[in-house]
Amino acid sequence: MTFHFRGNMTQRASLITSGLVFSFLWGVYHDTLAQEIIQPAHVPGYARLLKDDGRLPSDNQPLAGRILLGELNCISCHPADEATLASSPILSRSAPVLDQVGSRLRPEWLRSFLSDPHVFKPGTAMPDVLAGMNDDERKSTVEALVHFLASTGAVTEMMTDRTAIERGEARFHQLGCVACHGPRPLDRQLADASPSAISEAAPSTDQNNPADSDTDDDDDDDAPKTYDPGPSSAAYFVSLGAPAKKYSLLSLRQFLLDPLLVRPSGRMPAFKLTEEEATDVAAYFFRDVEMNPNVSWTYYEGTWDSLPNFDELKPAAEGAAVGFDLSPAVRKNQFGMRFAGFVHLATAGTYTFHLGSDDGSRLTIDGKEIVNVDGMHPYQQKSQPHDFAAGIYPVVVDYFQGGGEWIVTVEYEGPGLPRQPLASAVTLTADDKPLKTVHFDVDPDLAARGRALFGELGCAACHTLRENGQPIVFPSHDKIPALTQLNPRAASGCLGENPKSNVPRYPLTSTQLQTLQSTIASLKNRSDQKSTDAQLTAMAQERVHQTLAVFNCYACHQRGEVGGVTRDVNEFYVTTTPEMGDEGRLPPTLTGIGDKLTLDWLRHIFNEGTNDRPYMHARMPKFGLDNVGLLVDEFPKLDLVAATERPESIEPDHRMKSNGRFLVGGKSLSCIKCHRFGPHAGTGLSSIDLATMTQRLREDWFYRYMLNPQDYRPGTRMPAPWPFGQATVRDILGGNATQQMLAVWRYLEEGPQAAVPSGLIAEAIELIPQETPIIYRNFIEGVNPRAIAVGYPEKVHLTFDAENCNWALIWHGQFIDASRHWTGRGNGFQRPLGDHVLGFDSRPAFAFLENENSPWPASSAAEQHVQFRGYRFDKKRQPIFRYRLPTLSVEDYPEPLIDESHPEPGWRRTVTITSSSDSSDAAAPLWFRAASGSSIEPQDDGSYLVNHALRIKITRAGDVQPVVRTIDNQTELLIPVTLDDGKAKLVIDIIW
Amino acid sequence: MIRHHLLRRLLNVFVIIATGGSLSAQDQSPTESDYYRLLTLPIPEELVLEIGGIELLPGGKLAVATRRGDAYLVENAMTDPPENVGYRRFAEGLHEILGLDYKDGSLYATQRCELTKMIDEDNDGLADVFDTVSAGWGISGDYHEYAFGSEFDAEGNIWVVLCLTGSFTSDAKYRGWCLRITPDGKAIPTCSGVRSPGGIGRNHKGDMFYTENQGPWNGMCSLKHLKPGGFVGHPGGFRWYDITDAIGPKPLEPESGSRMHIQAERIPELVPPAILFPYAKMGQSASGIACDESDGKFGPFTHQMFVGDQTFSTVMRVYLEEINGVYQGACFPFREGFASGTLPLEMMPDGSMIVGGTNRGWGSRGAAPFSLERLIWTGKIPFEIHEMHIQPDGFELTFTHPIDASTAENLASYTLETYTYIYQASYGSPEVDHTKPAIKKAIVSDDRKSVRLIIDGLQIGHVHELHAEGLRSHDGLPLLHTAAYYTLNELPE
Repeated sequence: MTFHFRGNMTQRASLITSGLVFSFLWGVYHDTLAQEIIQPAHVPGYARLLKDDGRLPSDNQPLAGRILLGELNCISCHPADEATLASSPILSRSAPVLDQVGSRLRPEWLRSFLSDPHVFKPGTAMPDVLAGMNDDERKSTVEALVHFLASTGAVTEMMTDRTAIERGEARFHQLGCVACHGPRPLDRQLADASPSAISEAAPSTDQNNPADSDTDDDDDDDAPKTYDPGPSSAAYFVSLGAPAKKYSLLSLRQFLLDPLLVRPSGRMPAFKLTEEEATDVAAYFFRDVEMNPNVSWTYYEGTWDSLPNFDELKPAAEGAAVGFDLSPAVRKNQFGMRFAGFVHLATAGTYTFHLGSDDGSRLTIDGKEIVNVDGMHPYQQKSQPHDFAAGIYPVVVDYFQGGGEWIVTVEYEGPGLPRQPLASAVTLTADDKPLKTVHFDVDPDLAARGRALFGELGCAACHTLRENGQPIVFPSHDKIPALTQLNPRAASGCLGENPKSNVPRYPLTSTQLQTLQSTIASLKNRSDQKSTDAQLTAMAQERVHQTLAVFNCYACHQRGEVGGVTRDVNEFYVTTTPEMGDEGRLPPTLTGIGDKLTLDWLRHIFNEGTNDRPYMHARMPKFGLDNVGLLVDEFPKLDLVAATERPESIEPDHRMKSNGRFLVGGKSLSCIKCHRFGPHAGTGLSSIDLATMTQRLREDWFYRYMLNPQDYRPGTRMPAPWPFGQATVRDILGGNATQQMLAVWRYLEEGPQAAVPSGLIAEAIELIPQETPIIYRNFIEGVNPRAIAVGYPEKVHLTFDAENCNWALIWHGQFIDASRHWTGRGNGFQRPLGDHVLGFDSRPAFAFLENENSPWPASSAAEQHVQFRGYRFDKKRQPIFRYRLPTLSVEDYPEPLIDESHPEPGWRRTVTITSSSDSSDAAAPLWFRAASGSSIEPQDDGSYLVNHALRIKITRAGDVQPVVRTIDNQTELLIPVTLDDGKAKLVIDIIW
Repeated sequence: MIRHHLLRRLLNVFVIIATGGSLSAQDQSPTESDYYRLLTLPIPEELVLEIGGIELLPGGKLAVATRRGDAYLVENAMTDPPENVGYRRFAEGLHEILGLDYKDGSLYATQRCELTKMIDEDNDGLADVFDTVSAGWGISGDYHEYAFGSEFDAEGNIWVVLCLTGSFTSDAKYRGWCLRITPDGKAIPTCSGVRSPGGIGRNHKGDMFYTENQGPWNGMCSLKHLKPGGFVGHPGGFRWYDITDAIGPKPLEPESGSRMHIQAERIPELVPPAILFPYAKMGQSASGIACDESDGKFGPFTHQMFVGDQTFSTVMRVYLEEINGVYQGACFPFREGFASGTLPLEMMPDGSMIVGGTNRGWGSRGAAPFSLERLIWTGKIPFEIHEMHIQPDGFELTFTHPIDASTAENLASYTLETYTYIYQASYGSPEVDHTKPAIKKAIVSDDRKSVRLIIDGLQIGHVHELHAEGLRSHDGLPLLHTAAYYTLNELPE
């Protein structure tokens, strides 16, 4: 098999392969026998410098050349002296570190990739080092290399579950992976996004313009009919190949936890994923891999606030699943699942188990409870070590869901085992074999030969591979000419037409090739003239541009006119708080960033990544200070605006700070309405934290920003606190805007330790009925939103449900705290402040039943034509609720009932029914349901005890007999209603 | 004195940064308060008066309703200066009242869950009967589900605009719709496409309008015409077409990422906003609406509309005209400096305007948590663009004072730019599609009360932002507000 590189031959083409789009000229480098088209090295930073037609503007030539030198890592073989690099930095992308590569990559993948890197992994920048060999030689070389690489470790398989894959899909799309890799499935997304992106060299057009469909519309209207859908980034997407063929789930997850360990040059940044997040994202790439069920499950429905004893319950469904998978659940609330299987622990030792869930769960192994996170709570995780002898043990995971989010994760780690899902070691029966390491017989002789070849062929020039801490060396390294001594047009060199057999081959477009050649030539002719200030600025600008292009910062961030989230991926940038608009979901601009952020914060961001905007799902990953640190120097050089001096305070510092605290608080500028302050959420929104502000921002920038935020963030929702430089708060610091800004800054400099501004910690607003009852119509916990809470001076209270026209809650003691609804926007439901809270069935109290065995109607109040009409007050300003049924109107009158024999008051409920029509021939008899529950027991005194808690006495009902009946496990106390002269009256006393 | 000196110096430094030096203490130019003065009605310390509705009762008592759900009767509210202003609670415990009107001895409150008639049967100054007039819409428990109620229209209906559940969806019946509640309590679906209203009110012809806030399908805050049968832009509430045929079948879904005027060609029901309030130029949260029907008692702006902006704590002025059956027109800055976030506006029969304020949950420039103020014309006429009329080839501006012909004819006195907003499912929009039409000629009328601007390049669907910095009155005054923002939906024949 021979390869020819014909750099002077070009072909215009456009195609989609592996979901990636190319639409430019390239030099064809192909297998003349197999006619396989080779794709050129895909270098996103370089692609960004091309025009739509694939041409490279001559202005961009030197920069493009340096980007290629860096991305192809030319200087790992051809050294460059420091002087050269100082004036023309090359941000070299080092090849992946191959320490223990055998534990990361599958041997079959290594074999395919090394045999034909450019066909097998289109777009790779790895050269074909074996291109000069004949077929036999190549085959045996590859085999030796594979055995050597496989000898450094073994790939361990891992298992996960379907729900992890679903979470992984969301995480992959929302964390920001799509900025560089594009959404999945890629082909469909791109086809949907814009047909123009795949047509040849077409500039973006108005493909989305609906007006285009009116083709025969003779347009004499000069209004603009087209709009720009925005640029596409499809040409910069980096292919992911097929990760499931390359990695195991475990090794991909380990890679994602810190990609910089393997790829130290930061092109793939670290998103600081948690263990669970890394598992989910990795699992997403294993979605098409078939796995056999290894856990049996049983599914239950019910309402619990802690784990029930599943042994006593009858399952609603059962089956087998892959991993601890909640997706068989039929409903999203009020269910439980028990998983069972056998865990294989191969070696004796201490294992640590990590169990996390929302709501509660419990892990039991060999009959012993290992970890317990029972109860109703948001996602919560606990870890517990436990010693086990080697063996196979029965394992049970119990889980229940109340409401809201639902998730359970079970992981373990142990002797020689990295942390991973426990499901990997679980089987359906004790006899099944668990997943294990990928079997590959390493031939020691072949491996030894491979090790030698790894050095000799030059693999070691780019790839670090340490054995016992010592890297393998490339012995011929010093024989290779330095970068500035190269003849880039030499026919026998790596860029030549007839390369020598031992030089690597790079898949390059003709444009890439010419760019490299002319850049290398220009490095030789470099002059050391002194630069003017303007030239220095231009050079700084170019270094910044180079860095932002190479690291694809532009995929998320705009700086000047370049970059920003594109139409291909825009929809995946989402937020927890849609009301914040684009500011809540799109990464911030980098225009002026060197003026805005402190040097320390820039360093911190590059070193650690950040999540300063927790409402934004996309995360700022860690690129590594070693990789992008030059931005810390260059951003301020370019961006800093001449600083003004900090003004002198007109008050002592402690007073400045207290004034600042007042200004930030809810009775003044109310910054805390929209900004978080340390652990305290803002009262309206919770945008970026005030408590870390002075750590992040430059003081000078802060003052200028405050004067007009729109100048710095066009379209921001941040209002100008001092519009036109004027103070709106006139009684603080003499209404002096400058001093007020200074006061805010001084106060915020105390950081998270600063005293919390007023209005942030909601003080209770307890409503206390004094002489007359208090009406409080609002959202009450456990009641339809159309709720009317009424507090009585007698310290007995109720909530009437104005949708269903029935009592909803009754309680004793304190009435209610209104602070939830009267502070901030008033979101959410408030529970009563008092005690002894009892709830009623939410359905209407009246119904027309065919006979006494007809079930109480389940249809809504509206469907039964039960209609709330309002309320009126009696002389004591106690409300009398009024509602209507077909042909009837009702007054429902609660009065506190003082009963000496009982410590707290009860209720007297007087219900008056009046016929509102002449026709008395109602469709069916009318019934009043006085109570319902799991038990209703008639008592000796004629009352009824409901649920062993509530005593009901029917004081007046006319000449009728109440009925206690049980239908579908529910017991009801019904009173038939007969109208006498168009009227009926029921009186019921309630004590609890 | 040193301290005073320092303070002055520092203030000057910042004022210069902020305004480029155009404002200075020495400048004797007239200000808004020379023409419209603000009276603050004192509020007793123990009262929390986050005003959501205002109504004047027969006999001169003022009724105000609050977001906490109370209604108060205010005595001596119309005294000037305010004297013996007294508050008495009339009703309590309703659910966020955002609309108050009076008819036949009763007050009508639009609260989150229903329209309620409040009756004081025994005339003791306390409401005793709360009749549910209509609960014809749903609530799901989301704070965003506000209900703003109008005053009675000529047929005795109250119009209710219903905020969506959050910004995107409609989880409860008719959320995202406008309903008309008839005197007998029927709820008639009237418009779809509402997102997040800030106020509702009618013009002098009786046509109803509401203010809409920036968000999904709303690049910008706006004043929208509630034309019965219309779809006003946000498809989040389309599901309710399934339960009513009151306004015909469901319109076509708008295409996200387009422009409003392009979609309006596809979707016949789509009513474009009458006025766009450019974000951060005019305001950030459009709120209450009032129409000047005082026959000159409020100054020279008879039949113009006034619209609050809660974030900016301002009242803006709006001139509307109907072209080819579609409302459009211009908005102008009018009065700033209200104490809290302006919410309801109510014109009084004496020609003053009562303005209620609250900033709970949403910050405002006016830092007071709530306020009750009265805006009164001083009798002096400010030099303002009075009206701005579209013409086939440009605009005609009329003025409140005779103008100086030489500055008015000088094209350098004007700058004009146009832009629009993306009509999209995601939140808000930047200004896009900027153009700079050429002003070819400025022709001053014989009476010197108007000028015709002949313009090349008017843009349908765009805001036309005009600044007339150089223009002077006959007396040599600059305009009190030099900016005008005209929303062009239709060109006249």
